[in-house]
Amino acid sequence: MNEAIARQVDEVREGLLESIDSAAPLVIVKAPPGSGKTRLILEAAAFARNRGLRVAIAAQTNSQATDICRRLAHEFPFPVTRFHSSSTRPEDIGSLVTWVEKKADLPVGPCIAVGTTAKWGLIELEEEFDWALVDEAWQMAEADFMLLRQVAPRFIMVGDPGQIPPVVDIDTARWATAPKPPHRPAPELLLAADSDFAPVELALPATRRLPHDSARVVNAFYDFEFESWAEPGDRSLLARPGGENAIDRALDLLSAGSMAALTLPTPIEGPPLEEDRDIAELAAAIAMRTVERGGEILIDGRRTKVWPGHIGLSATHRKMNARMTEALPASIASEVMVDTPERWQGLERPLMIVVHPVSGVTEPTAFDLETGRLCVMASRHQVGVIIVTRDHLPATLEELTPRAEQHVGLRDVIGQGHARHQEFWEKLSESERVVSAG
Amino acid sequence: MSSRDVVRRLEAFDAGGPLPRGATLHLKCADPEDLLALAFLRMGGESLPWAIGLKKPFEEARIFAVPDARDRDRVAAMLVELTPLLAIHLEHPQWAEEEPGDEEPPLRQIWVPNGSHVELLHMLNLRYTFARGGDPDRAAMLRILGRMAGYLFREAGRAGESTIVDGSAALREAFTFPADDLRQQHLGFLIALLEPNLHRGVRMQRAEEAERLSVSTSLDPDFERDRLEPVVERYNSARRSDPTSAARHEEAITALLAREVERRLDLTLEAVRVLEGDAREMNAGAVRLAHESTEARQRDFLWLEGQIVTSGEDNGFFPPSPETDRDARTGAARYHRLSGGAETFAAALIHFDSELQEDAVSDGQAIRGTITKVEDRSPEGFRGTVPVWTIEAPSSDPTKFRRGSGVCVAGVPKRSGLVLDIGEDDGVRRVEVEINGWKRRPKDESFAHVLAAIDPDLEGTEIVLLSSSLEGISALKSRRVRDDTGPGAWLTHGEGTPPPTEKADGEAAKLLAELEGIRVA
Repeated sequence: MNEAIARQVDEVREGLLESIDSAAPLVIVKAPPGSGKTRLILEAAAFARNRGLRVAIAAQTNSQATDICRRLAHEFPFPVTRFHSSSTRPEDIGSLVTWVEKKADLPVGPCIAVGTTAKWGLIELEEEFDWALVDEAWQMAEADFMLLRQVAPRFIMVGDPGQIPPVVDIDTARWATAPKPPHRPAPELLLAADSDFAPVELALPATRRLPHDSARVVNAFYDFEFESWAEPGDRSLLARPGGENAIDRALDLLSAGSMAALTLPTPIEGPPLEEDRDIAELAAAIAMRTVERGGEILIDGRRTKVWPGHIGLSATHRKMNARMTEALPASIASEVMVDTPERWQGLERPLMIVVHPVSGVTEPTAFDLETGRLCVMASRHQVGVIIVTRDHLPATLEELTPRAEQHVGLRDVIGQGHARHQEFWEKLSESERVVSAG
Repeated sequence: MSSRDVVRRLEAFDAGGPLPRGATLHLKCADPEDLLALAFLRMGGESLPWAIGLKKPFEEARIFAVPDARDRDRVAAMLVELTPLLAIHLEHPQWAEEEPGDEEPPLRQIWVPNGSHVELLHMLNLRYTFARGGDPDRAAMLRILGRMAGYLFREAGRAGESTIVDGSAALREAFTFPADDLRQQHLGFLIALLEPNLHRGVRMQRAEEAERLSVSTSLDPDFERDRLEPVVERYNSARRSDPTSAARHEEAITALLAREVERRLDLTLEAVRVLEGDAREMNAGAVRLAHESTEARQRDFLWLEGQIVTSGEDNGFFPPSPETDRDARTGAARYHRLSGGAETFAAALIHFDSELQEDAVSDGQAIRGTITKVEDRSPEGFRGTVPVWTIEAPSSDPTKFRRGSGVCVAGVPKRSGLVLDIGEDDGVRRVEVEINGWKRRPKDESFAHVLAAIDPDLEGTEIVLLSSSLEGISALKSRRVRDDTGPGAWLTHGEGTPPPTEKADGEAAKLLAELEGIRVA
């Protein structure tokens, strides 16, 4: 299968290079999690630069922009300009990377310059670029994309449509029926636009990060098919023998398969609000037990000893993350990354322990049912993920009737989110991957 | 609802009455002459008003009513009477007696009993912004009303605005009430709960009594069916055949409606009185927000009206659509402006309210800690200082701050910095912050207590670190997004045509080889 996937990936790469070669005005690349989005951006940038073109790369955060510079300088022989704001401190990431704060200091002629969308959007360029390459394009709201009008005439947008949409903290009801809602991801609107102009559309065919069975489950969150580079048996947690308790049984499930869930009974008086200390302690206990049992992690034929840095924890609310951090034993706390799904975007660990977004929520809202967070949480692992939740979850999802509050003619996003959440849980239950810790 | 909100509400239940929410007041009330209460009534099944009331503090109410809200002409005539009164209050240029001077215009405020009255403004916006039928003068007046209602409705959705105030929301912002969310929509219920010096049982009984009387734009269905409907029927029967009798019935309808409207107006002005009588200090940020609301009135309403007065309605000046922003530029500009408004709202108030700061700490949006070390990390030969603070805080608090986060000190918004490092050890979170704004002792007398950022006396001081605000950035984006020039504008703004595609030079496989050829081994 890998050969077939490799051929398909090469077709996407060729398609992208052909688009640059033929000066296609717009290319949109959809990519599943961990499929090599940034790699594609680096290759496009280097190819265009090699052809004597001026390339601007727009990342969505400063750390992403700096990471792109670091990788470009590592993989290709071209100087790279890190175009940054006054609030970003330059870092030493190699002699090929020059940090530039003022637009007047941007290079003249062929170059690669990397900044954030916000930085590019707030300046008036003296010399336009030939190409604007947008990384993590589904995290960029239309209103921010519009500010890139002065950067370049041609665009390549690469991103993951299943991830969390741009963070918006205002009421967007006014634009529910707008032809171009300013808060929606820009590529989503460009692909849906009813115009004579058709962009070049490409899709990466497979995830390098996720094990094969996880890829199948996570694919439910996407509107295009993808596979996994990993074949059955390529990835597993080879833990030393454990006991019969629930945590050990959940860990054992990761020796043949990559997903498991661990449930705690829901108190009769209802689950705790915001901070569920029992769930936080359970997540921390799983991390500790993983380290205690030891053993190895198998990733595509390579075995490494389990250590705390292999493990990541995530919950949607900061307070729960603080409780999980607090619950981690000092011996592993400094090595285990704990953060919200928003912060986990773009990152990965061999093993993830995540708190289901609907755990403890008896009346799920649009925020809880938005699939991006669950999708991100369920797609950070290379080997296995254990989802912890209160056991009311299946009943809560079953009993919920989404109200279809969307405007006429629009997608029932909440209803679809609800259906995806149900499917996700049903897949875990049907494959007997739910362990009760009660 | 956050856990702190839950605790506050439980405390209010325990106290048997409302408790102050926030250490300061977050809304500036306009001066009495600049404040107007406005209330509407609708007939069941109708979207337009049946009766309207206006009242300023210490003045008599002005009530407008029609005998039957299904009579569109009579409703329109009533609204034509209302228009100049509202327009004068908002300083509409058509009614301006003199040219505006250099002095800052006053905050002009309109208070409504609750959110349903704001929604009715949207109905007026939808119905009349493009009104064309009937008498041209009347239609022009109705269009002014439509635009004015549209401005007020849109403004009501901007965080931190002070022009159109929902009375029940203003009380909920200032107090925590011992009641569920739904009951807290009722202004009469809230005001009865706020009555001082009452035993909890009596207070709750009065609140429940008040709750039985409607304050929304809808009338109590029993009252409408039993008291009003028979008179409306009699009026309609007599309208063509017996004008004297019809006039009598009309008077009776008006009297019944007037009583209902006046009750709503009185409750609304009572909400103003409660807030004005509150002993808490006015948040300095609220004064700024009030000023910005006045600016927004000039920019988002009076500017367009001025153009229309000068150039006429069909000369290139278009009111915003009541439904949505069809033009992508307008939508994006409004999006950035509203985002900026939300940032300003959050940033303006929190610096001057310790309770808001506690909420932020509890939610991970702020860090409360103690400065344990003050250092100057200026490199050799550097003439200035590079103050770096080490702050210690409990690691059990959540936090959103990371390396590179921009922060500022609560109460001193301009003392800003950058998180250099953040780590946790043994229950303690250590944050290293380089101070890059207001490093010296400020000259501004209102900050006389603030030491220089390098002063060792800062060690041992407890501070709250907040996210530094990017308010100005959103305003800049809002302006820039309207510009539709540039090589990419064909795609971002739909201006011009896509650049031409060229014939590909090479075969696909060769292109890949070319790429691999430049890769560093």
